[in-house]
Amino acid sequence: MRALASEGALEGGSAGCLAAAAAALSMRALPQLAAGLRVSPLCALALVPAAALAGALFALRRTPSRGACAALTEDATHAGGLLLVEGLPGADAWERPEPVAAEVPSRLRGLLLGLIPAIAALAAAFAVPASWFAEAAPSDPRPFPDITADIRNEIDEIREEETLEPETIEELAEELERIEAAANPAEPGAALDAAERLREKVAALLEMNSEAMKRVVKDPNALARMASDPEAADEFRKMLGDSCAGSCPNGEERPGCEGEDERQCDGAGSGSPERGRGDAEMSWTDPSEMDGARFEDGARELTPRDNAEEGKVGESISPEDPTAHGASSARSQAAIGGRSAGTSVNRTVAPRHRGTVKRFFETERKQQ
Amino acid sequence: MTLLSPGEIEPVKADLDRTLAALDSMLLGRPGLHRLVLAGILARGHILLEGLPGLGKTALVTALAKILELDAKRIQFTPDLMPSDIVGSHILEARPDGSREMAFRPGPVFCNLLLADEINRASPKTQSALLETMQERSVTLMGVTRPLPDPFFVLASQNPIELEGTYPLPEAQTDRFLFRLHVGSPDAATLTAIISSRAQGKMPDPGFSLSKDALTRAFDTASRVVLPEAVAAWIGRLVAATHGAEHVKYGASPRAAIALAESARAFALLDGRPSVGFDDVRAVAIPVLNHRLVLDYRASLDGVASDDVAQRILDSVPVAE
Repeated sequence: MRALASEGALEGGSAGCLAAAAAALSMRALPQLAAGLRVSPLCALALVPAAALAGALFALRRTPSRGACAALTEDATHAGGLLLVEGLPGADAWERPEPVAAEVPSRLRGLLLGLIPAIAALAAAFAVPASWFAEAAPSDPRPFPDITADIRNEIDEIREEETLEPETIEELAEELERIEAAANPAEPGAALDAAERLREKVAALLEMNSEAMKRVVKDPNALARMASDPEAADEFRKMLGDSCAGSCPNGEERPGCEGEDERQCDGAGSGSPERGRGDAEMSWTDPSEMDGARFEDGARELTPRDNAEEGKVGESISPEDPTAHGASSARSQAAIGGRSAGTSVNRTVAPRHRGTVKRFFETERKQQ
Repeated sequence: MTLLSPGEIEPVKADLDRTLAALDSMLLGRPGLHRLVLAGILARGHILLEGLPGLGKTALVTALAKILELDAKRIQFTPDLMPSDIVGSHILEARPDGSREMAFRPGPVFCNLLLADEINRASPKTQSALLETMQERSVTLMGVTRPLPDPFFVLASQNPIELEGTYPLPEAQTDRFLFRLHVGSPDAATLTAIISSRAQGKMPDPGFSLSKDALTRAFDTASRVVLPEAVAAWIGRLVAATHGAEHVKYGASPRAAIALAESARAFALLDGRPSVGFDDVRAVAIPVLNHRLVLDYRASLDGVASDDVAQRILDSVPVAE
């Protein structure tokens, strides 16, 4: 029993060491996992005695049956089955040899050898330098104050542009203050998420403003409307000046702001690796144009339905087929178009045989 | 189930001991082989003796027939041997009253101890004539089934090295043999004893014979030897382990399990015990299993024989689960 329990404990201990090593490695590699579980990687060591105890208990439950023990004893005693028939009538008449304890092969040595690598794995799980995990771990998120500062700057920008309703801008500012107030240093994740959401919202509003501005700039009616309103026209001119300021994507100065915006860069900036915006208008240029696209000159290959004379590339002349009789012979005569039957047969060579015929004559010429 | 008493076993054991002693005196140097042959006889099984020419296979059967006082017949198997040469045939016979009728002439198989010498020289058709006789101990001809004399044993011999003009026994037939026993070469001392004590190699008179009644009593006693549950379970696991074992294409049949149990009983009786032990099973396991295992091609590549596989299975299956 003791040997069985020891073997079970060793088996369980080995398994526990390996499980603890895996758990410790996981917790060290994924700190958020350990933080979520609120446990230290050292707690994984508790798996070792727990598994050893479970192994010992399980081994004790596997105690061999009485019949198995009797069979082992009988085999060890070489009693010729007399130990196995003890209870039968007439068994007392037979002299039984003294039972010999069966030698159960011990697995202790093997299990002890198996425990060594398990312990080594557990030690290695704690001995691995933390830098190994730091490289593998994802980069830390930006600090919370940086994010909130960015958002505040963007809100100020929107406020200066006055492109949104003041109430909306105030709502954004208030939401930012709420997030800052609710931020808990112990759980930075929630505050970071909320700040990120707000930043995306502000960025989306900025983008919408930019798009709306472009539409106004491109709309000729809008220009007309602006012309009728001097105050708005001044404002709009100012905006145009702002939008035309700067340089082309390739670094050259914009030639001017009369006309259209992005096309100002087409002439001077051509050749730049910059491909322009993804939602830029499609432009049709040489050689493919919207009107009169160019195509490569080509000719359709003739088919058997085309005029046979046009498709004919040559005639082959051969002696008459002596096996041709009856209808087939008549058809042949009709095919040759009234030539004197019986001397030769002319066949039209189809275009698809052009290559073969050409090769044939070239070969013949070479041989001559 | 009651155990045999010492009083019931001792006279049988004494007879068997004298039989063995007589066999040992007639054929020198093979006590182990004689013990297995007698165990096979007690288990009412057929035995296939395999060995090179001149090793005394036929002499063993002849000696056994002399000792057991059984009606023994010998068939020399040849390629042109026909089934009717073994089981018999019907011939047209004239009656004294002038009428004629088909009369059955029994073949040599109608005996107690049949020596099928060089059994693998006959064609498969003729070999198949023995299938019913070995299993059912009867002969069916023209719709009439005739029982063979009781007891009936086939002791066949075959030469394992001569392949020219031989027909290997089909698995269905080898499975019907209880044992396949290898008859090995005697050692130098045995050879010296043979040539110094036997003129022309003639066997001496046994000086003892086991009567048919004594043999029948031995059969009855052997069948009453108790097979303990643990030993029976081990036999079952042994035979089951032959299926799927390395180098084995087809494992042993249930007939092998029966053969193991019966021959182990006989072996226990030869030892004068009322119950079968694990050692009895070990003693007969290889002769019982070696011809019943169909090995795969890897066995021939690895040079593994069926005896090796049987021994490996015997060693690997524990007596208790």
